[in-house]
Amino acid sequence: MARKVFVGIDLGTSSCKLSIIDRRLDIKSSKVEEVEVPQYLDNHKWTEMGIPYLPSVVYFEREDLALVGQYAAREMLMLHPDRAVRAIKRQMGRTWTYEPFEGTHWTPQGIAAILLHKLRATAEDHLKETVTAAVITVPASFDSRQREATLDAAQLAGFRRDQVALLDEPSAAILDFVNRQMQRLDSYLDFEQPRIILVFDIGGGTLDVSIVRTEPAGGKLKLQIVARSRYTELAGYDFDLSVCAYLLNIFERGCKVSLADLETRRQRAVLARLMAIAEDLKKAISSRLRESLVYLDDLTRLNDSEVYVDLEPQEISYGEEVIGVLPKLRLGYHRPFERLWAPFFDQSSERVSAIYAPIRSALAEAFPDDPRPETRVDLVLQHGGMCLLLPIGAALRAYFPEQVRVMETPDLMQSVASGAAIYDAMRGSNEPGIFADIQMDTQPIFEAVFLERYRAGLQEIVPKAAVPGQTEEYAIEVPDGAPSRLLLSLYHGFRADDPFVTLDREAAIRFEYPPKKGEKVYLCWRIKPNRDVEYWWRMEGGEPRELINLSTRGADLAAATNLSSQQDQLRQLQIE
Amino acid sequence: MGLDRYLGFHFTDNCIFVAEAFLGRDSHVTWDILRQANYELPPEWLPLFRTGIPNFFDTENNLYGFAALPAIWRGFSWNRFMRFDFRFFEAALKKGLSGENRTRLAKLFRYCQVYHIHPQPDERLYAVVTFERLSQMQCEDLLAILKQQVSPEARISFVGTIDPEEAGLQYLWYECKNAPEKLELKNKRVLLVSLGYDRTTMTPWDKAETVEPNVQAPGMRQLDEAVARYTGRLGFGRTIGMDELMLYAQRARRSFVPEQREIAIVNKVIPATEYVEVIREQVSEIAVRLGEVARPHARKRPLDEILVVGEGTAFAPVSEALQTAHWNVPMCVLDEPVFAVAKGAAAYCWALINSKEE
Repeated sequence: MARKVFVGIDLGTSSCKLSIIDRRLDIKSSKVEEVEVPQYLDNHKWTEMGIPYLPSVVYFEREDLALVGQYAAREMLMLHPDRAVRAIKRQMGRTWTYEPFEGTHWTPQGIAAILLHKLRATAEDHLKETVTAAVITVPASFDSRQREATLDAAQLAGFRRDQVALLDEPSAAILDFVNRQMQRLDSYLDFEQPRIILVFDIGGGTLDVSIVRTEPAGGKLKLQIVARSRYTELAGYDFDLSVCAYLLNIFERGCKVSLADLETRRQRAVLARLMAIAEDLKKAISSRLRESLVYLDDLTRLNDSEVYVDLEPQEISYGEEVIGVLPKLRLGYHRPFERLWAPFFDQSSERVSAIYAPIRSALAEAFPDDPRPETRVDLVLQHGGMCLLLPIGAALRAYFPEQVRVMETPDLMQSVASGAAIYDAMRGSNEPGIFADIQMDTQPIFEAVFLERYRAGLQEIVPKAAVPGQTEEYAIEVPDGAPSRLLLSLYHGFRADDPFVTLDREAAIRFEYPPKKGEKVYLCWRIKPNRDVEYWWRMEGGEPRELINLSTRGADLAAATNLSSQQDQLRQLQIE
Repeated sequence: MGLDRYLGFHFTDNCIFVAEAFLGRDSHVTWDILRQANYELPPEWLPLFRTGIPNFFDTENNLYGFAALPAIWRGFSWNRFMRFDFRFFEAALKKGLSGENRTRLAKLFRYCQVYHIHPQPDERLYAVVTFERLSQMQCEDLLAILKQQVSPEARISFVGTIDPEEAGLQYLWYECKNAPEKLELKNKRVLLVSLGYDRTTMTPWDKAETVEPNVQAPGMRQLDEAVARYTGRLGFGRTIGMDELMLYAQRARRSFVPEQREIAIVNKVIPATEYVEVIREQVSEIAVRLGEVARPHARKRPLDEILVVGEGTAFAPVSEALQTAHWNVPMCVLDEPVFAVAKGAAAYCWALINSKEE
């Protein structure tokens, strides 16, 4: 039976959002609804009506009780930094465990599952029916391990693994944008011609750049992701960190306290508080800059006397104990914010910490032979909460030629969740007509896989354009010496000469009978739906056989990710 | 390719609603509502301002809308805030717009652009404005002021004004064209009930034409006034005036849910039963009027359907009262009722410009 309810989840580093499309009453409805999430707010105040987002912070009040959302983010992260965990998305796919209480271990999947469980429960309360299917967004640059971990989290949260699809965040943002544009008779782009759109998505924890080609195909608008940037963690969090470091310096000098001399728990408390202040200051200066546009035409006319934020004295404490007081401050945009953030906007060098690095990387992938690939772009679409900071948009305008239109998605915060709900409707509905004018191509794996044997250089065996379902074979000639096994090293990367190519696994082909020199052995691969690559081998005309894994980058992870133990812990946990 | 954008602004005492009309691929006029995702707003204010722009200007910090709001709960003082309400516009009509007020009004439209409309540099913005509590003649005079004095600084071409009730009808007209399978008017006799802020109007339509003068009943403002007067008597000191009480009364109304037990007005908490009792007279007046108009023997040909728009539809005591008074005539509440007037104004704006071009 075709589904009538479609759910999109933006599982963000700093906050999560939920959108739904409900076609139970109107089978043709294309209305995307933002769902507000009931949660505890400041002072442990419960809001049944909810707020439009869920801060991605989990606070373990007791071993059997986790509070998720604003109360955890705004209060408990400062008061009990040992028992509150944030930015879990940055740990996805890593061998990392969190121990809020002695003997209780949570993996990144388990903590992400708590967030997803809360969102699923919200969707179920809203819809008054069980929700097991959804589209969850992930950064485009997430690798297969990070994607697998996200699927694990969804499964732990009560979703059916086979009914969950992952969608790249920039793809979701562009889907929402294109859907809205397609509703208009006149739009910003003439979609009758092939177009190139660069999506610049900067959120709390990741910065993703994707390049999308749109072209009309058989009465539909086809969206094809042609390139994406490498995985980068430059995002709002780093902007906060630089401000936090500045505040820490003032705090240490003003209070004659050295962070290094403090005990670890006190260090954590000081840093958590300063990070919260830094984040508030970033948001405040961001608002001031935007407000100034009401009075000014462009940001170049701003100076400190016009745009500043005042910070009242802030007590930094650990429980009841006051460690020191951050003095009253007046902070202008040009000084200190612009100076602190200058490395992020440094266009002159190849700095990987600058926002331009992922743009360059994606453009180079899309147009490798073009010396000025930025001229090939028709539209730059900004998305993510960090785009509220106007200098980001100004930097993009300065980077691209004047004729390139730079604009924000319809809703900087919600477009990804909305796009995910649209994608869920596109994949899950049999009803023709709704979103039928958009066709999204299957997304390729993006990183090629290379084989290295006996230090003979890297040979590409899986192209980066390979898509889920694709399967092929790579012929290997047996060397001299009747070997009993062949050792294989498999690398992931954009290109063979790419300095970022990384070893993914080492494996072996073990022969029952030593083959003759020159005989062919076939290394076979298939792209799984989650874009992970599955390998096996066979002799010419022979049966498929398993590879022997010698080492895998994720082997430790598999050991640490004991899903059943996490499932048991989740069963005993009350989530509010 | 810069777009022409057709905007509708609906000014109420405490909120400004903005909608944009555009021609869809199916050649029907459709809308986008322009909201600001304000995540930092305290939850108690979200019901009131999650859709509309706060109609406030903080004269101390020169801030508009959401940016002006924090001062309300941090440090309220007399005359610190001004509103672009009927009193502001009436004064502009009587005495003319002073230089300061002209700039303030122009910058308000700029504020709406920066936070809600997000125009691209090559776009042309056209707008129709709807004011509550002003006569048609006053609106026309005000349009002349907007065109001559505000338009260049605001960078919007003001092309007309429209009465809130008329805007509601415009919205209904275009909505019916959009979804003829849902809203078929050509062969029906319908009653359009606009539960507006200033007043409730009930307009009978026969085959998509107005056939009788409309019937009026109290609007949501009268309900808020009753609550503000009642809570005012409880005593709040000198700093809280009627305007501020109205703001809190409006907030209480917009956040009201049927199972609620208590209602907070400023720092006073009253039981929900008491609150419902305070507004009983106005609510029953609306229901009585509807009963009279919808009564089968009130007209030669009975009504086929009642269509309800306006911000009152989201208020449970009013919607429940309507349910008891509609004489079993099918009743349909249109989507996003709070934006009906702004949508109607935007559609009217589209029609004005495109009919000129034709």
